[in-house]
Amino acid sequence: MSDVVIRADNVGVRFRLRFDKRPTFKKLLLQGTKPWSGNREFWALRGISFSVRRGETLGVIGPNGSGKSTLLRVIGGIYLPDEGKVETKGRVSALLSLTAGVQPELSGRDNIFLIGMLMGFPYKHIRSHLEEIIEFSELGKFIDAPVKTYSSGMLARLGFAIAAHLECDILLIDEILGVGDQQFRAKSQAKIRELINQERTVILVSHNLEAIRQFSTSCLWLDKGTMRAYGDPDEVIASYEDFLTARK
Amino acid sequence: MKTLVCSLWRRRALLWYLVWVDLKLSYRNKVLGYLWSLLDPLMLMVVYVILVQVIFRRGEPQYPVLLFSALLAWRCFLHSTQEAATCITSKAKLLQTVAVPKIIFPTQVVVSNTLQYIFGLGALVPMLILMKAKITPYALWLIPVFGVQLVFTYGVCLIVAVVGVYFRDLQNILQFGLRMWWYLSPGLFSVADRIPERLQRLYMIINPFAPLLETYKNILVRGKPPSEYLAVAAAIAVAIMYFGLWVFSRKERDLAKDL
Repeated sequence: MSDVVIRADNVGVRFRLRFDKRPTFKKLLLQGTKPWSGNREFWALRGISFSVRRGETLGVIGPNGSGKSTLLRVIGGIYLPDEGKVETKGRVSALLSLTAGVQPELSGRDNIFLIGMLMGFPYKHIRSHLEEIIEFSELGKFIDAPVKTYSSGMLARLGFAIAAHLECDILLIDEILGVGDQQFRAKSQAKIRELINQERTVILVSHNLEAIRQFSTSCLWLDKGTMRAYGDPDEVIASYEDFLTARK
Repeated sequence: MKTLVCSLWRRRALLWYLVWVDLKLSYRNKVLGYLWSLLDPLMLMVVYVILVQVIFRRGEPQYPVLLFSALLAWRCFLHSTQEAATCITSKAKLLQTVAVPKIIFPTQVVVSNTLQYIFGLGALVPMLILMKAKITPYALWLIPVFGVQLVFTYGVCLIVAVVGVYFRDLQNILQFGLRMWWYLSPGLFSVADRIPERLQRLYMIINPFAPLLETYKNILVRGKPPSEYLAVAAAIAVAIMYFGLWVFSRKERDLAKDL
């Protein structure tokens, strides 16, 4: 019990549907549709329960729109569950898409501080890791150039370097395995492996089943916001593959 | 509501960093840099002085400095409110990535603009001396009076930040509404000149910026103490801030989802 760092208990997240497509005035007259009628809620996740121990890696798989990213956001504390509860121990780094926090006008160096502080790290902690981050990102002298001048690969490298080097207890990863060029991709995969080995708890969302098989200690298959299967990665992935071929 | 304030306090280091980033960005790549926080309100003052004194031949003695003492404070409110309307919506992507207490963003807007106001005093003080304003100890009232304005501004910004998420038209409405509010407040004119005597009382009560702007002029330029209407404005300010905190604490948990 003591080393369970993430516990989800019957978690549900509900969204209110917004009227991005407002019924036009014409439709309103012709069909009499009321803008407020119909089902205005949907559950992006419902009845999700699992626990992850320190140092384990949970792989999350499922088709698009099955609630994988929502699950990461609930664990990261971005969404509060509308039902059930989530408990996490330690600092969660919710770098889902690694570069959403960057301020394009600022330099890479300033952005390391900005993102780090948004993630909740103290300034001193970031400063003590600054050199490793810069070195890992391979940005060299460009670290002092404004981020708006970076290529997407450079930005992805910076984001990965920040997430990988600031020491958080729980790392949430959404499709990270394809960052940068081939060489950097190999390097980032090696880094993930290292993080997993270091008592770090990781939740990994990916469509790359090979990666999930390789890294995960347990696996969760989500389908339309509910748990389809949960347990040993090989078994869950095998039945997911069967499901995928059957659908074709 | 208490947890809301606590969450802000815990992340105060981030708040200061965001303020620093904001100031750095607003002066970046500008030749005159920080001078712009003095030049911006000064140039606007010149426009109004030409309009009122030269074209319409109105105004009173020391008109420019009277106007400037009110304009500087109004701009702090104006810019805070406008920025607050988009401070959460513009960070939609960020807020779906990192768990940050949302209240930090409207707070940052108010803090940044307060600093801008303080920089702006660097232009006001020499002007007061040059235009021979009656400088008396009443000028020290500036701190509590600006404090009242700040409380009011913070409350309005909290409300506007939340409403801005659900009602994107707010920005357009604010642009017009705030301009109207300025023209209806005693910035370009003084209450004694333009408001009929029987309406003055009502006017000072319903528009918190009436006693506020009038007080800035009185304490800084005319060497007079604030009027009792300032207490009414203070009460309104506290009520608005309380309401703002209440609205924010009700909605904070849904904001990331509803963006």
